Amino acid sequence: MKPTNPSPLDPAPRGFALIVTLSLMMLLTVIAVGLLSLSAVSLRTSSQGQAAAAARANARLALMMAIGELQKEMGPDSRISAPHDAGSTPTGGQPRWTAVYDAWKRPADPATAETPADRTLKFRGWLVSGANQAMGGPPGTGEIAKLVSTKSLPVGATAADEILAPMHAVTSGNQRGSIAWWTADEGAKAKINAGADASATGAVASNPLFDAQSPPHVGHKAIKALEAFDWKPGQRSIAITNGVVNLAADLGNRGVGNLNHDITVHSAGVLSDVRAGSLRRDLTNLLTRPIAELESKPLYLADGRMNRFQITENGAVENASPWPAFTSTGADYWGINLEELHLFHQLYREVEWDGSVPKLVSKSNSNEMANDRFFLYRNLTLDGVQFMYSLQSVLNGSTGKYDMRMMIDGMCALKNPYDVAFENQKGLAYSFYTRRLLYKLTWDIKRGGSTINSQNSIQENNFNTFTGYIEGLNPAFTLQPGELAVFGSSTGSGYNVNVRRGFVPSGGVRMTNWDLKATGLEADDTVDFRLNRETGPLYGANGSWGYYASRRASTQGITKISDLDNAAANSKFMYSVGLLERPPANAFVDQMLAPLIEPPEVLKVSAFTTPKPVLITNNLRNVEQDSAPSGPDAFPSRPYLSGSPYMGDNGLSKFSTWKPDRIANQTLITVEPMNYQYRTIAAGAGGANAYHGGGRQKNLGGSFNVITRRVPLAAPLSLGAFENAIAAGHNRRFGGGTALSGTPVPPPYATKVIGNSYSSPFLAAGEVYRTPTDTDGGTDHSWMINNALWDSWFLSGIVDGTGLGSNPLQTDSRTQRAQFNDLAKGTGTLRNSRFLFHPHRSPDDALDELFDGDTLKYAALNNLTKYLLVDGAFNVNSTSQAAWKALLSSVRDQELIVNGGAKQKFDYPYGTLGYAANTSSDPLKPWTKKDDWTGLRDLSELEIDALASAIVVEVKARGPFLSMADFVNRRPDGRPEHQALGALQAAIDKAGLNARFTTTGRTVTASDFSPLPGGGISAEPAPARSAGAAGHLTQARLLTALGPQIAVRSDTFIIRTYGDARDSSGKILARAWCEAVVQRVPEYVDPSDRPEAHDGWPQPANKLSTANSRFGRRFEIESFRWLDSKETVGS
Amino acid sequence: MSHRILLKFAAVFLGLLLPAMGQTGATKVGPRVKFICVSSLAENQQIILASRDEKGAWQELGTVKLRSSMITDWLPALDGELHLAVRKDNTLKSIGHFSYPAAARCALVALIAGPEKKAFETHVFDPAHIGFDKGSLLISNSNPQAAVVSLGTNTQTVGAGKEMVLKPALEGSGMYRLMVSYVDGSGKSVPCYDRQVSGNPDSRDMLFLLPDKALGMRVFSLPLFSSID
Repeated sequence: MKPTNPSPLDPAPRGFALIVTLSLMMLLTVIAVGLLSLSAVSLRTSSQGQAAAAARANARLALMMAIGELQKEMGPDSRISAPHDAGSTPTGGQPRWTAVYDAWKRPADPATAETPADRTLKFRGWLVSGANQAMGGPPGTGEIAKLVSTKSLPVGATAADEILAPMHAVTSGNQRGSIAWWTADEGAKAKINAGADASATGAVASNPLFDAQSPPHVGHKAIKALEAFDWKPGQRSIAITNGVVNLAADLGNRGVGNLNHDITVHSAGVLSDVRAGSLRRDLTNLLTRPIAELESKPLYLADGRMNRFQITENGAVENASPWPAFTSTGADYWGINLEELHLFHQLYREVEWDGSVPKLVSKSNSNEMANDRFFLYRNLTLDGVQFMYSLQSVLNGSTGKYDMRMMIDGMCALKNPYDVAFENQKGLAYSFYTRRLLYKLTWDIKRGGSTINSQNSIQENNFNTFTGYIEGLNPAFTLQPGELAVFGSSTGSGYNVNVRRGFVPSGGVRMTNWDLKATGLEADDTVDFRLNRETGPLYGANGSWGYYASRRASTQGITKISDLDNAAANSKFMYSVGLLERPPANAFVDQMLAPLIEPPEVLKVSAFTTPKPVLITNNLRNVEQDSAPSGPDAFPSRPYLSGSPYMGDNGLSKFSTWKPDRIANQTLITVEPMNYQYRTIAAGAGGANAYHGGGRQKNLGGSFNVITRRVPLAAPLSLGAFENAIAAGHNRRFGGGTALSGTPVPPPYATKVIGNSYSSPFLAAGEVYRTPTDTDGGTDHSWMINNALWDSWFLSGIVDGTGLGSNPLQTDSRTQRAQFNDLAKGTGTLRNSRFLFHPHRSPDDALDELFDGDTLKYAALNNLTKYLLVDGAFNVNSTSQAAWKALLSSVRDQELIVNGGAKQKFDYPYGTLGYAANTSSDPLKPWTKKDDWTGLRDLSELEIDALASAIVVEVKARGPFLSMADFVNRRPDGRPEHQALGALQAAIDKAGLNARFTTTGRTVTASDFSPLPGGGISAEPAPARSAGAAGHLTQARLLTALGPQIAVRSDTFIIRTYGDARDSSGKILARAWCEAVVQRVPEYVDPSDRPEAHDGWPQPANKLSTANSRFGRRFEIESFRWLDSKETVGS
Repeated sequence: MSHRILLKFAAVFLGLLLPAMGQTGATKVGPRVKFICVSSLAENQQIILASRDEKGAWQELGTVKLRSSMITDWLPALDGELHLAVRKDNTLKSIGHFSYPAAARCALVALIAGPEKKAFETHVFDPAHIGFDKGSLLISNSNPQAAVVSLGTNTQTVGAGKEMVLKPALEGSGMYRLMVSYVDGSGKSVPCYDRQVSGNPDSRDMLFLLPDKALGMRVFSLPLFSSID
C-alpha cells in the first residue's frame, strides 16, 4: 500500500494488487453467505489504546468491504455509475451517494435489430454501507456515521454537503463495533490537474489541430476559488491531493477542501465498451489501413442490426457472419460504412498547401475522378442551375422575312463547401444540362391588328437540349472557403456551351429541336404569346421527364468541350441532380411551376432581333429564408441536416409526393417568367457569386461564403469530428471506377449525422426505423451510427507523422512508434495528450507487442487499449454544474489557426477542427461572433455557465445514461422532450446558445414537414431552420472537443470509511476514519484472461473465467490515509 | 362650348380611334398613358380608364386588362384627374386615381396593389420631364426610408418617396451589378438586393423599391422596350 499517489507514469506495484484481489475474494464470499457479523479483528484488552486499534481495524475492514462492493458492482465493464440525482432517484438514495446500474448492453443475438425499446433501467445498488436492504443487502444498525464534515469540504460548504452513511454492526468475540463506508465517484467531478505539464509534453508542442479535438487540460479556472490560479510547470503532476492544490494556489488550509464534490485530482478512465462488455478498439488503427481492406463494410443495416465485425487476434476485420449481401432496398440496405469513415479520417493527407494556406485540389480529368477514392470530397457541390429561355427573331435570308427562334442560356452555381480553398485543376470539366421544357408555346402574332399566327408549339422529345460545360481553365480556378461561384454561358457549339466564371448571358444557343412554327413575319408584326404548363405526359415514359440539371464527367476522358462531340464519351454520368418526374396531375408540378407565362409587354418582331428572355427554370438548393414574393427560392425545412451530404441534391427519385421529395432533397424546382430581363441568382462583382445560407439576398442572411463542412488538417482525434464526414451509406461505385458514387443511400438523405441526434421528419418521434414507402419511413442514421461508434471505438490518434499528411501547421513529425515510445517512457505525449500510459507491461515490452518497426501492428487494434487510460475521464452522468462548467471550459483561451497560419486565442471556441480561416468575403472584415455561416462559435463565460446548468437539468431528467450512445442519441422513450434531441443538443438550445437562429421566421415546425410524420420537432425547445449551419452550435461540436474525455461510467473512486469500537453496552470507546483512492485498471481480477479478451473473443466460444465474469477488471488502491475527526465529524 | 371641352372631346375622339390604328399607330397625338402594372388586384382584371366631368359623370377613355408584371399599350388620356375604375351595378367604381402631369405628352403610371388589394396606389411619371431616355433606369422609392442604389459604379441615394433617373455603368459584357440598400433609423445602410442584371441600350428600365416588412425593402423591375417618343 502506498502512502501517496504515484506519478501517473510510475508503474503500479503489482504484487500488492494480487494480495488485495485475494482478500476481496475471501471477503466477498463472506458477504455472500451473510456472515457479516464476524470480524477478523482480535483485541486482547479493553484499554483505550486497544479500543483505538480496534476502531482502526474496523475502519480498515470497512475499506475492504467497500472495495469488495466496488469490485463486484463496478469491476465489470457493463456497469454504470451515477450520482443519486441523475434521473429518478432509486430507493433510499441520499445526496452525494453513488448509484450503480447495469449498462444498456447490445442484444445477445447479433441478428436482432436494435431499438430504443431495448433500454431498460436496472438499478443495482448504492456504493454506501447499509443502503441496499431493498436490493437484498444486509441491514444497517439504524445508526448513521458522518464521513465528511464541512471542515473537510471547501469554504462555504453547508450541512447539506456533509456525507452520512448507515452503519453495520461487527463483532469479534466479545468486542463490538460498527463500520460504515461511502464511495465517491471521482469520474463525475472535474479533474483540475488533468493533462501533462508543458514540461512533460516533450517532443510535441501544443497544437491547435490536436487541442481542438482533445483539450490538454480541464478548465480549472471555472472553479471560483481557482479562477486566478495558473498551474506552474510541474505542479499538475505533483498535485496528488487537494491540499497540494490549496498550497499551489495559495488558498489556505481549507481552499478547495480536502474533499470536494465538484473537483478532484484523481480520475482516470479505462476505455471500456459498456455495451459489449469489453475494452474499446482503436478506430485510428482501423481507418489508416489501405482502403481496399475497408470496402463493403457497413456498420449497420437500415433496420438497426449492427455489424459485429469478425476481428481476429491479428487485427484482421471482416463483416459479421452471416451478413446480408448488398441490396439497395428494405431492411438489409447497408448503412454508413468504414470506407466513408476512412475517407474522412485520411482526408488530411489529401490537403495541399500554398505556404500555410490549405486547399483541396481536384483531379485533372474525369477519368481520374471516377477512380479517385476521395471523389466524394474532391468535388465542388452543385448549389443551383438555372436555364433561361429567350425568344429571338432572325431574318431569313431566303425569304426576307423573320423567323422566331427559342434560345437557351445556362447558369450553374458551384459551391466549395469546405473551410479550406478548393482548386479546380485545368482540364477537369463539369457539365450540366437540361431536358425537355414542360411548356407549350401558343402564339398570338398580329399584323395590322389582326391575328396571323395562333399556332401551338411544344418542344420535341430530347434528352439533351443544352449542355453547359465548365472547363478547368488555365490557370485553374480556385474557390475560397464556403464560396458559391457562378458560371454562365458564353460561347457555344451546337448545344454544348462553354461557361465561364460570372454571369454573362449571350442570348444563348438556338434550340433546333423546338420548331416554334412562327416564320415569315414582318418587322412590324406584334408578338404576343403564352407559355402554358403542360398538364399531361407527351412522350410516354421518357417524355414524362421534365428538365434536368446534372453534373457529369466521363470515365472516357472528356477534358475539353470538343470531347462532347464524341457520343461515346458523352455517355457516362457520375451523378445527376434534380430529376423531375412528371406523372400526370403531379402535385409537385402544379405547385412549383408557374401555370402560365405571358410577356410583360407586347413588342414588334423587330424588337426581338436581340433575344428577349421569357422564362427561367430554377433548380436551387434550399436556403433558410424565402425572398418571396419574387421567389419562391426557399421553403421552411432543415437544409443543413436533410438532403444529401455529398451533393446539393441527388435526384428526386424516392418519394412520389412533392413535399417529401423536397425535404429529402432540399431542392426547389421552379419555373418563373423573366420579363425580358436577364437576372438569375448571380450577384456580386461580375455576377461571379451567389448568396446562400440564410437566403438569396444579404438582408435575408445570405452570404457568398457558407461553410458546411470542415476538413481535418491532421488525423482526427475525436469521434465528434466525424460530424463533418460525408457519411450516409454511400456503397456504390461508378461502373468504370473505384470511387464511391453519390447514388442513393439508405433513405432518407441525412447529413451531419455522427455525433448529432435530431429526430427524423420521416419518422414518428418514437421510431428509429420504418420500412421506407413512397411517402415516408427510412432510417434514423444518427441513432444507428452513434450506437455503432461511441461505445465500441476510440481514436488513439497514433498515425504516421512523416511524409504525406505532414504540413506546415501540424508540427508532429514523429513515427507511430516514436509517439507511443514518448508516452510509455515519459518523454512526451500522444497527440491526444490526455492519454496516460498504463504499464500493463514494461514500455519496451509494450513497444514490442504493438509495433512492427515504426508501424503499429494491425493486432494493436485489440491490444493497444490495455496500455491506455484517459486522464481526467469525465462521467457524463455527473450532476455537478461546477464540474460540467470546468469540463466545458477545457477550451478556454484555446488558440486556433487562422487564415495565413497564424495562431489566435479565443475565449471558449467550439466548432472547428483547429483551423478557423476568416472566410469573410471582405478580407478586411474581422471575424465576428455573429457570423452564422462561416464562423466557429466562441462562447462567453456566461454562455458556458448557462450551458453547464442546462446540461445538468438534462442529466437529471434523462439520466442515468446507460451507454455512450444513450448519452449522444435522442431518447425515443415516449417523452416528447427526450425524443426530439440528444441531451447535449437539448441543453445547448435550452441555454439559448442558438437563440439567434430562432428569432422570428427562423424556426421550423412539424407542420412544415407535413404530410411526413414530423418526428419530434414540435418538442424541440428551439427548432432552428438552420440547425447544423456553421455558426449554429451542435452537440457534435461540443463532442468534437470533449468526446475523447467523456465516459458513461467512472473508474476512479474515493472511499471513506468509519470504524468504531464499543463496550458491551454499546458505548463507543474509540472511532477511526480512513480514506483511499482506488483506481480500476484494464487487467482482470483473474489474470488468466488477457485484458483485451471478453466473452466471444478472441474465439467465438471464448468465455471469461467465472471470477472475471463476476468481478470484472481489477481495482487498485492508489493512496490511503487516516482521517482525523475534524475532517469527518467536524470536531 | 369652351376650348377646354373641345380639346377633351378631340382627345377622346382620337383616343377611341387608337385601338383601330394599332398599338403604336397614333402615339404622337394627345395625352396618353401607359400603365406599368407592378402588382394587380386580380389577374386579368378588366380596368376602365375614366374621368369625371364637372357634374361628376363618368367618361370612359379606354379599357385594359391588367395582371402583375405587365406593361400596357398606350391609352388615350385627358389632363386632370383620371381614374382606374371597374364596372359595378351599371356604374363605375374608382379603384385608383392619378393626376395627368400638366403639359406632358405622355405619362407612365405605375400601379401597385394596395395593402388589402382593394385599390391601386399610383405613381405618375412624365418621361420627358424626368429625362427617362433609352438606356437609363427610373428608380421609384415608395418607402419611408431612403435607398442607396448602385448601378455598377454609379451610386446614388434616392430619398423616401422620391424618384430618380440614372444611367447604369455597364460592364463590357453589357451587364451591371445592381445593388440596393435602405437606410435604417440609425442611418445605417442595410443591403437588401444584389444581382447581376442585363443593361440594354434599347430599353428604359424601371426599378420600384417597395415597402416590405420581411425584407426591409423589396425590389421590382421591368424593362420598357416600346417607344415613348
